[in-house]
Amino acid sequence: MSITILKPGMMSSVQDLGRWGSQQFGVPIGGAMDKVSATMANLICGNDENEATVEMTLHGTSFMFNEAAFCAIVGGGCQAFAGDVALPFNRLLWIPAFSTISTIASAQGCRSYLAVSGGFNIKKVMGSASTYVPSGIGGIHGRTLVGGDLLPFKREQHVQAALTLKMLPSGIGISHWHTANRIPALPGVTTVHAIEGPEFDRFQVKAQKNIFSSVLTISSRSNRMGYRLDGNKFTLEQKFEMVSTPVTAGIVQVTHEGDPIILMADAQTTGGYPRIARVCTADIPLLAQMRPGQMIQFSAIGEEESLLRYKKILEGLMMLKTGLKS
Amino acid sequence: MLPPRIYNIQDCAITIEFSQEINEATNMRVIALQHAIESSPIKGFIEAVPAYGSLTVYFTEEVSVAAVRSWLSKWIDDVPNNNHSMLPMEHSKQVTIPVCYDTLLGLDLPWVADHLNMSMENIIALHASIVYRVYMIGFVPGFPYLGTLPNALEVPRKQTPSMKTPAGSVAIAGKQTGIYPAEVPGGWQVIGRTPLKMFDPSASPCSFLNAGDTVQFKPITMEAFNQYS
Repeated sequence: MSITILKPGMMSSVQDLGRWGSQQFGVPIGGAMDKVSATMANLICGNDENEATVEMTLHGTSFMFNEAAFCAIVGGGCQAFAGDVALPFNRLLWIPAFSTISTIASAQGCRSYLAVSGGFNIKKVMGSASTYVPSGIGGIHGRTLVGGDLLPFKREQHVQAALTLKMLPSGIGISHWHTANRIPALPGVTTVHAIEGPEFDRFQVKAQKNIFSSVLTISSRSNRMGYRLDGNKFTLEQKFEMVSTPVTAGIVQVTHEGDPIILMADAQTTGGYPRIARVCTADIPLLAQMRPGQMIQFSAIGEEESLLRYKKILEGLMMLKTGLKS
Repeated sequence: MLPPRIYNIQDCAITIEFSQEINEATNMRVIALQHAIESSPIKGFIEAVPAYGSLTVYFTEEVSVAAVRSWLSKWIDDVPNNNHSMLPMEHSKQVTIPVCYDTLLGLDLPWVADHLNMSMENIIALHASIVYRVYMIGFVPGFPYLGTLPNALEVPRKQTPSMKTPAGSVAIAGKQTGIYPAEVPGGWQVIGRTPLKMFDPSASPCSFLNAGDTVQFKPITMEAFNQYS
């Protein structure tokens, strides 16, 4: 009842929906970069939304099912194959024992999430299975996955349910139904909705205008903690001393050199850089599916609209959960 | 005291900012507010995170932002009038932390002595003479921001942060002193090391110190330091 990682690819780690309740001790929320895709992978498998998933970054990952199992892959950044059989995303899959799944490059997206029916059996640390590498906690020994890692399942698979799937000659089963693909087709510049940040007024008028009009490129110096943006510099009206204040995913802070950074899942709990903007919470999963080199432009929206967009996503997930259970 | 600034840092996270400076009375108010709202949470409340002069409250989408704001306003008005809340002693502890200031561990102590034109002995005596307040935990899990350092010990951050600052390193920068809980890159000047563990994910709470605690450092010898491990 497990999978074995054969190749970790660019970066793979165990993630759930995050480690809540310990931020006052400096412990980041962390969790899946694209929490909507991770949730969907679990819901397709009939799991609780917070079960541990394997977050795969881009392609090059391969793993073997040591027993037959139901699973789902949701997100983007790769195409998955079992031998020469393409495995569609967003569907419930039945994988026979000893199948090896490998991923190759795809044009769109950046992160994909593997969930298995019943969930992976990963010891929770401070209430979460999420891997937080800087402190070496969660997941498998607090680190990204390496070849040879074994990820056990929580329970035996219910084989009879496989009968409802379309069965291929290879023994692989694929559900007739699927959930919507959320990975956006890529135009030249992706719109990211954002709101003025707490220190917006402290920036030069030019910077205040430019943050919503510049085309910015996601830098190669981006990771789970944050995305650096190239393309314009943002200058304070007057330099001032800032003491540390809480920050969280979506906050756009500006370094002393004038470079913006969008904080992502593994953001520190506090930061001391001026915050020029904050990304609408609904658009963070979209950012999580973008790669270095891709371009974004911030579009200003109001607090109300931002919250409505977020609620719409949560309602969609609730409907999916209800629909899959009926 | 001026009314605080209240703003969202995420759709479901609101910050109450009293001030943008290091001030003990403000920080006491922040922590009193934290304990007050934790003791009577609104439906959907997740957690409250204190910083120097602000408190951030995280909640679920089940509760409206307007409801959270009005619930917080009530507490903001109540807390400064309540003397018990102003001194949340039952939540805070006084701790003595052993530190070995040997230059084998306090790697930047000679530089600091040179920069301040002060003997290493005097720096150690001064650093260990003060009762510090834990203003907040942040930067990395379990890292306490302690203050306030006397003017005589003020040094700038390193021009280029060290790639690796050993776990337990006691360091100073500006008006602050702190303790690195794990081996991480660091920009503060390291003057000693404690054998105590500042962060333990298997302990509850995971952080040795908590905002509101008070700390005094006790110099120990290298022999004593080695006996801890």
